[in-house]
Amino acid sequence: MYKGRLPALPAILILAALTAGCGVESMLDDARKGRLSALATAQATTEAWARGQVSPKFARLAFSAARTRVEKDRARLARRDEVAADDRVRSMLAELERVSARLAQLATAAEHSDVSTAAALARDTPPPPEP
Amino acid sequence: MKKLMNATLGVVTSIGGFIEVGSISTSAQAGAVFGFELLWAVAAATACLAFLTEMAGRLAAVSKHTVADAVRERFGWTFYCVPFTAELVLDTLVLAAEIGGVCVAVRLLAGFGLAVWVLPVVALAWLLLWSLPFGAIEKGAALLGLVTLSFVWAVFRLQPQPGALFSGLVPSLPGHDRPQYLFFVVSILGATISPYLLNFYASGAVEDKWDESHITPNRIVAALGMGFGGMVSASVLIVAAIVLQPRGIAVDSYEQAALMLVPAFAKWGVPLFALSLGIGCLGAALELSLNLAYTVSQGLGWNWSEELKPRREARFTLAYLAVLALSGLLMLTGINPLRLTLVSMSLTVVFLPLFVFPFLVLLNDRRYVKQHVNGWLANGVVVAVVVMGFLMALAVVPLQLLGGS
Repeated sequence: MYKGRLPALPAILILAALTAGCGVESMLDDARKGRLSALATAQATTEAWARGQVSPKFARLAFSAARTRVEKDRARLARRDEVAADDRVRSMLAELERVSARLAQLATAAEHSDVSTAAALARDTPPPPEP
Repeated sequence: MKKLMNATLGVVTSIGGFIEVGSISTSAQAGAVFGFELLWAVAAATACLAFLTEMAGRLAAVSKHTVADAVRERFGWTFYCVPFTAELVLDTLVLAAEIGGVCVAVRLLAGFGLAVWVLPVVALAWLLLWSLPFGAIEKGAALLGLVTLSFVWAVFRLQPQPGALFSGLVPSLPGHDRPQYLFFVVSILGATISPYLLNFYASGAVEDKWDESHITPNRIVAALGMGFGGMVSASVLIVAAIVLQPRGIAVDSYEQAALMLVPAFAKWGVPLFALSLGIGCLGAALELSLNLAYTVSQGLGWNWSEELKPRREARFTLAYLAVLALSGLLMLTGINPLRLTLVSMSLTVVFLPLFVFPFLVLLNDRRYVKQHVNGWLANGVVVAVVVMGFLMALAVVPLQLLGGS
């Protein structure tokens, strides 16, 4: 080994760190988990709101926070063209868009303190499968 | 009798002051994803913290040195520069996360805003530091922090299976998401074993003029206070495991975490969560600001004491004002408070050996602690936990920070 050459182990670790989480599988897995968590949050919040256990102000915050995660995953998947060309990714992007729109509707319902609309929207949203 | 009273108060304030942004967020996330499986990490981190806190008090009581003072004196300024710089950077990041935690708590109660609360929170922290003596800051925030016992009460109301809890105390690797599991172990260690606590605790002991007669009360406070404090932290994890995990709610935001107390307290659930978060974070923000000022003042040889009037120690006062302002500015950049918390907690573990190993040398040096040197158990537990955390951090922190969502 001559001076200035990067030792193998640190090089591998750096490479692993830089590429970690960048693969399509990993991004899809993250997006799947984020989608499930967002839907579960929406359902739990709507139920608590309907029972008078949380305020509409809190419900709006919770819906918006869940939507932020979904939007983040969507932007991450859509950022790279070669990834977005994958059929599974396209299907996930469409699903994330649908969930994001539903969360936006729920946030609007909370803004208007309209618990019955929120409950209807939550009923209409398919429950996330068992984690 | 007075020492016993002080020890009791010390235990109570340790419990109330244990929970802050790091312990709430890491325990909630760990419980929501892995159920009870990471209880052992909370227990190991708490045991390590109890040993370290006892050592910091013993060092101050016997040598009349704070940790920063003693490390600089024993190892020289050149060596001390490294942990000094690392502590300034880490404490500033953690302080920003604590300020963020208070802002989130206000948002949960008010229903709007985040950045809009940064300036009022920084101003409130500065006002409290300016006007109150050390004891009032330390004990006042911690006594109010007893609201965090609501997590313990929630565990009793939710009645988890004792067998499942005990199995969580045995370290094991899960069948899924192992890198994330290891990252949570690292984050829990970083959130619990905060290096700032050591110098803050020792500085408080020097301010209170401890002597060797305080060694036993100090031991009681460290063991019981941190032990019960760790129980509160474990309660956060348990409640998240019971409420959030079965529904598939991962904690990507504090709003999701706030749902965990709703089944136990109904309409009081979110306010209790917000109060626990807000008071815990405000208390920690005050302690961190003071510790940063202590570290800078002790490192540079300035006058330092929270008992003196600000005009008698202008540079000490300026130091906490500056770090509060800097951390507030960091929060104003729009950074996600939860993400900042996880980053700062995991980086803490990466740098932990830098703080802990020189500290251990002092506690085994008779010139500083006379006959009260560490036993093999204290040395062994601390070294084992710190080395384990460091190795895990090296493996998973780069993966999570660069690749995590």
